[in-house]
Formats: sequence, C-alpha cells, structure tokens
Amino acid sequence: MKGLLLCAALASSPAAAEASLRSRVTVGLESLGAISLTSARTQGGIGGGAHAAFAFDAHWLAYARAAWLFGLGSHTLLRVGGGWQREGVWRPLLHGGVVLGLGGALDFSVGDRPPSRAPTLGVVLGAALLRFQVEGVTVSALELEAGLSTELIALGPRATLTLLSLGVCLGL
Amino acid sequence: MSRLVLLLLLSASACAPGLIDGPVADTARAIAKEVDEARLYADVVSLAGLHASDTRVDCAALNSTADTWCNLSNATARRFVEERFRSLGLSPEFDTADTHPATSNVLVELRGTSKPDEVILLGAHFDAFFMGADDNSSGVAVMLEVARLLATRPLARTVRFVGFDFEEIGLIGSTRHVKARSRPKVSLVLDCVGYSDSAKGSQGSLPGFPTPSAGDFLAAIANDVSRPRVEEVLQVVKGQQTPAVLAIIAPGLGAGPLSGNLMRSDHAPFWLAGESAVFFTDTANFRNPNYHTRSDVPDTLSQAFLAGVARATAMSVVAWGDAP
Repeated sequence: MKGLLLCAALASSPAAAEASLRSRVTVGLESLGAISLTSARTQGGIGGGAHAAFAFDAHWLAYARAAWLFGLGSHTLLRVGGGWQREGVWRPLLHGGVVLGLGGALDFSVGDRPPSRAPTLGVVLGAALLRFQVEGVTVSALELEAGLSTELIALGPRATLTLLSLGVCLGL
Repeated sequence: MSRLVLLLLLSASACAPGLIDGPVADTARAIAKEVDEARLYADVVSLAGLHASDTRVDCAALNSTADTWCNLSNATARRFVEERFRSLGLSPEFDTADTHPATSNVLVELRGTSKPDEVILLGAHFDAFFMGADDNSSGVAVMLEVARLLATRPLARTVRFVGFDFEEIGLIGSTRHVKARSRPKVSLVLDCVGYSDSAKGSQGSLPGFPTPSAGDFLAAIANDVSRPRVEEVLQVVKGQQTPAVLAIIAPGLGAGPLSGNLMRSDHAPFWLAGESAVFFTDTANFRNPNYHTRSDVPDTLSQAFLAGVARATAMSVVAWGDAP
C-alpha cells in the first residue's frame, strides 16, 4: 500500500519534500473516442493520448490530458480540469474541466456566417466509476465525460468515452 | 491556457478568407443577372432527350447487366456540348483515351486578358443513367449557360470549361484530366444541381451532417485546401437571387473514412491531387428520389432553383477569374 499512500496523500516529513512532490504526480496513457456536435461543426474520432495528474491531497487533484484522434480528419484534444476521488483501492473520480479541440473537423456555414476557423472550445463534467488504484498504479475503464462545445458560432453537445486509462505514480 | 486560446483565436482571424473586392463582386453579380432560365431548362430537356435516345454503353463490358448500368450513355450529350461550344465561337478539344471503355472529355478555354496562365475550371460530367435530367444534364446546362455568358466577355484569368466523361463509372474523365492537364488555380464542379423540395423532411442526411430539413439549399462542398474559395462563394452570393448556400468543409484533403460521401464526384481527383476544388450539388440521392432511376426526368426539376445555381456559379467563376 506504500504507493497508494504516496500518491494519495501529502507527505508529512520535510525531508521527504522532493519525494513527496513526485509522489503527487501520476502520468499515464489512455485510449478514447470523442465527439462534438454543433450546427456549425462536427469534430470527433478515436485515438489515444497521454495524461498527467497532480494530487493536492488524498481526494482532490488537477489534470491535463492530450489526445490525438482520427476519424473526421485528425485533431488534437487538450483537456485540463480537476476533480475529487474516493480514497481506497476503488477510486471513482468525479471531475470537470475545459476542452480545446484543434485540427480536422467537418465545418458548416450557418445562415450567412461562413464556417468557423476557430478551435473547438468546451466545458465538461465527467465520471470515472470503474477506476482502481493499487500500489500507485491506476486503472480506469469506460470513463464518460459530457458537456457543451462551441466553435464560436453554435453551441452543441460533446462527449468523450475513455475506454481504458493506465496511470503510474511517479513516486513509485 | 487562456493565452493559448487567445493566440489560437487571433491566428484564426488572421487566416480570414481572401476577400472579393467591391468592383469584382459587382461585375460578377451583374453578369449573373443575365442567366436565362428558359434557355437553361431547354438545355436540360434537350440533353435528357438525347440520353433517352442515345446508344447505351456496353454494360456487359462493365461486368454488369444491372438495369442501371445498361442504361448509361454519353456520346450524343458530348456532341451537344461540343456543338454548343462551337456555336459560341469556341474551338473544343478532345482528349480521347482507351480506358475500357474509351473516355473523351470535351473542353474549351477562354483565354484570360491579364493572367492567362492562371486557370479557373468549370466542369460537369455529361454521361448519365437513363435520361439523367438532374444527374447530370442540370450541371452540363449550367456550365453551358456560364460559357455563353462569358464567351464574349473574357476575364483576367483563363476560364476552362470541361465536360467530363464517365464520372459514373469511377470519375475516369476527371481523373485523366487532373493527370494530363495544367492544374487550375481553382475548379468548380457541378453535379446534380436541379432538384429542390422545400417540404420539411425532404432532405436526407448522415450522422454528423446537420443539414436543414428542407431540401431547397445548394451545397457548396470544399476541403481544407479549398476552404477560402467557398468563403468567397458565400461572400459573393450573399443577398443575391440564389438558393441558400450551405458550405460544407471536409477536413484535410477530404479523404477521411467519415467524409467519403463528400467525394462522390469529379472534384475528388482534384482534392486528392492537393488542388483547390469546390463542388456544387443538390446532394443527389440525399434529396432526389429519382436519383439513378428512369424517373430522373426534366419535369421533376425546379427551373427557378436551377437558374439560381447558374447565377451562383456565374458569380463564383467571375469573382475568381477577375479577383486581384
């Protein structure tokens, strides 16, 4: 359980400050699919990405995720946010964040407005209910994220399904 | 993060479309007003009649005896295009090749006055199943009408009109053209541009394509390379007597697995070659129930819609041809 404790909680000893900092960081890889639908843009695809999370304490964390998706052309999905996780081996995570989609999409004119050239922006809420952590290794499956998207012309729904995510605590 | 977003937004606006300036747009709109709706429709009727009586392509040679494939024709429609070009005082060329079956595109060029080496291409395929009123006598008729409007009025750039052969078999004529000819600055391809239905629910679609419910708009389809050209189309037709234009931009070259339906006509070889090409269409089978059937006859088309497409086409070609 040492890894779990390091990744989950603040270290109490000043001498362990550097190790403590590392112990708060988890990095990993994930496979996912995402879709954003507005009347001015359809952007989506499947692919993979990488993520990093920083634990403030046993429950609260912040994350940054980058993914590269293919389907409607190729595009990069950048996500940052934060959330709350349960303590223990079963560590469901509830989180929220903002999304930036850059690159390929199907673009449409709306009325007299030409297709947007702006990136896709979004806000999302997510839940990773099948998420577990053992010895500093985090495994999460079927994580769902839903929210709203815009390309500065129209507003519509967006969703991301992370099929499988694997993370490792740097303090292991 | 906010700085990144701001930077991206600024860079997006810095990539704003090339604007068609006032005098060019005014000229384009003035020429488009000369579209002759009656002549346009008469050409569709003539072409459809020619297809109805034409000798059919040997479908057995195409390894298909299906009714559709045994009712494909091209010869007399090509002759109609050729004769029309000649009647306008132009000298059509042919680029015949034995592609099993043999293909022969027919083309003419109106030489540009100040930038003759830069070419604007307007093309439509003249082969058709059955009478092929919408697919594609409508597109050929619009091309011929724009040729009529420009025949005595040369633009700054050269305008090349091309009747493509055997689009239906697999874009054979246009593929050959892209490989053999100098590359145009921009191409505009017309395919199925005469069917309109303003009833709600008349427009079919695909997941991810938020098209209007009523099938009375003109789809102007581009890829990332040709995105600025579609933006110019939207700009020049704004407020004019044309159908509503729905611009659709496919990502990249347009060849992705989920956007393949946007590559179903003669603009596709241009896209795949990295060239700028725009595709005007009524969306064919996503709107027209007569697509590739015996009932694709002139009576099913909207003359007003067809004339509106011809105006949009004329405005686009003139704007591109005379743009600084």
